[in-house]
Amino acid sequence: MKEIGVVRPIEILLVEDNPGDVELARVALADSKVTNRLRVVEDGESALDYMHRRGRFSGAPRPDLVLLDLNLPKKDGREVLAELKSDPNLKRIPVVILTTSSAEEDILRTYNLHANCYITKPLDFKQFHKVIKSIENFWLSIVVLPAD
Amino acid sequence: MCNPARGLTAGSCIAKAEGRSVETPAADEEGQRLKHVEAVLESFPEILYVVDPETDRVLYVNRILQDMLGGSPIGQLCYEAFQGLDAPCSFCTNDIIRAGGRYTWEHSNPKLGRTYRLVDQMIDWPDGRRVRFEYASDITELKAAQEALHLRNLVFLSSMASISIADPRGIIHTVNPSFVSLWGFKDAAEASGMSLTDLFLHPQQARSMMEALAGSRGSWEGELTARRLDGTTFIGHCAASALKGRDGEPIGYQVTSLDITARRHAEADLERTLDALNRSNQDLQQFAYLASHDLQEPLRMVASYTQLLGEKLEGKLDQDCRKYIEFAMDGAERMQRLIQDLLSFSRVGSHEEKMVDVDMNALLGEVLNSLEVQIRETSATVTGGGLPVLKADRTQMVQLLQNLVQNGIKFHGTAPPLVHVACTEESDAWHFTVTDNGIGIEEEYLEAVFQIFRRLNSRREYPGTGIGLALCRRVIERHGGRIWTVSSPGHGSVFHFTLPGGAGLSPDQ
Repeated sequence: MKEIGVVRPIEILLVEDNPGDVELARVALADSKVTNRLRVVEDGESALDYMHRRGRFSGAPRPDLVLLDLNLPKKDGREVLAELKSDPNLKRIPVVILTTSSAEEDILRTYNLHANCYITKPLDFKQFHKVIKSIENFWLSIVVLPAD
Repeated sequence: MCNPARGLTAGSCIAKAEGRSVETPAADEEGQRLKHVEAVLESFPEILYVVDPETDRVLYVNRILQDMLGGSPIGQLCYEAFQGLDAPCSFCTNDIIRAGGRYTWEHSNPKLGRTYRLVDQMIDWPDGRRVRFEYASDITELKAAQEALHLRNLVFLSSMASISIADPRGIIHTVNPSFVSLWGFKDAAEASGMSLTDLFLHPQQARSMMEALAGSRGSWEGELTARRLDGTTFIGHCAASALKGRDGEPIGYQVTSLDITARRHAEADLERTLDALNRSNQDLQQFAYLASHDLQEPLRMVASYTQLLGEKLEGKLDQDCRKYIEFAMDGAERMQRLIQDLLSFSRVGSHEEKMVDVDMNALLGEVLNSLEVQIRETSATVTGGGLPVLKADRTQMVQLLQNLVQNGIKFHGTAPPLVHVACTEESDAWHFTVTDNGIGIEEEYLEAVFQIFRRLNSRREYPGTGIGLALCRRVIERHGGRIWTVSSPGHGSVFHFTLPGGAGLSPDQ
């Protein structure tokens, strides 16, 4: 992954319907030491279309990391996660749940659906920034992921 | 047979003596007849005796009476010998007998302990006297049976349940007063002759009851919609059974009914209320989740962007502006804590299946670990031990102990906080105490501290949402225990709570 990263930017798909949160993620990732490209879709259905490269996403690059909110319009994050993790082709892509909810059942349920990790969005920006940095650091620098 | 002891001696022995002296065929025939009479009287299975009505002295008793008395009473006073009384009985001496009539009555004999039907009349005695002859039949068993029957009839007549008795075709023979009033008849006679099936709204239901009664089981129990004489209806709980004669053949049926309309309506009301309550509870849980999630998102926007703004304008803001940003951040943080506490509060009681064995000692250790920073910052000493293993919802026990210990640390005075957790075993409960040396609570607020959002101190001195103790109470009540506090200002507080268990119950029950 690191070797590939030199060649092309890391592809991150953010599934998030709140423009405020999208902006925060953008700001946090802007000064990243890894070259990345943040793509955003706003609902679960678009997220699945993107992942399957359907319709307007037919030319979309395969993401290296998915940041998934749980409460989304149309299909919600749990459905998106379930579908991704049951697809033999897509289940290798790490999915980080990034949500406001700190409800026990949400945490349990998403891990049971094979989420790679669960993060509750912190209240203030400094914390949020740290969280995005550590996601980036862990998933894009430390972890060795399959080539494709 | 000529036994002087039993008093017939006079007559029969004289007859024999005369017979021997005057040997005529007629006398011989008369002698034979007397012998027969004596044989019959002596072996008669019920009491016979003769008394002189003037002196009340006994003249004759038959063998069965003599055996019962255990010796001959001849010549004794009849009321003494037979009854153990010290004066003549009024009924033996009444005018009907004296006037030559026959008098019949019933009497319980105190000496023999039996009840008799007595027949008295005057007869001619061989010596020319008029004497009183009595014949007594033992009716003790008959009387007892009558008494029992009377009692049963009383039950039938006074029963609150309405009872009807029908013949094998289901035609009503008799009913009790409760039946009359329940079905709205004038009297029992009005009901007799009706078919049992006419008593109910749906004849088919009544017919299946009759079929069950005629079947091998011979009984039926259930609910039927009954129809009164005026056409109104009620829900009847009916228990019916076949009545069998001595030969085991059915001779009819009895149907016992109770009007359970009010009970059924109350049950239906209760069920509706429960349904509504469950729905409302579910709605509330759903609402709490949505509220906490959906309320937090805008809050995060406010906090994050206020902060971001502060960063962007770094150096361009004066002290006031920085303070405003701080206030905005502080407000958002408090709002978030409030939402999260409210969420935990609303969740208590939603996981019935989570009752497990909880080692409260180990749990206290965990709580102390998570309070480590606070303990260090306040130089608090928290002690405790000897806590039991008990059946509880683990997460909620953590919330409970954490809140109580945290309060003990938080509400400290000038001295460093001391908090002690202990437990004693009572007959049916574990009794916990969390004792602190803090600021204490005024008496009038001892109850109020457990109310949600109830705070006794300023946020500046003691920050908090006012949910902690309300949550503790909810946890305790959900576990079937009690929570209360004993405290006075300046002398610390002791929070008491009980959890079911103790000596009577082992943890795995």
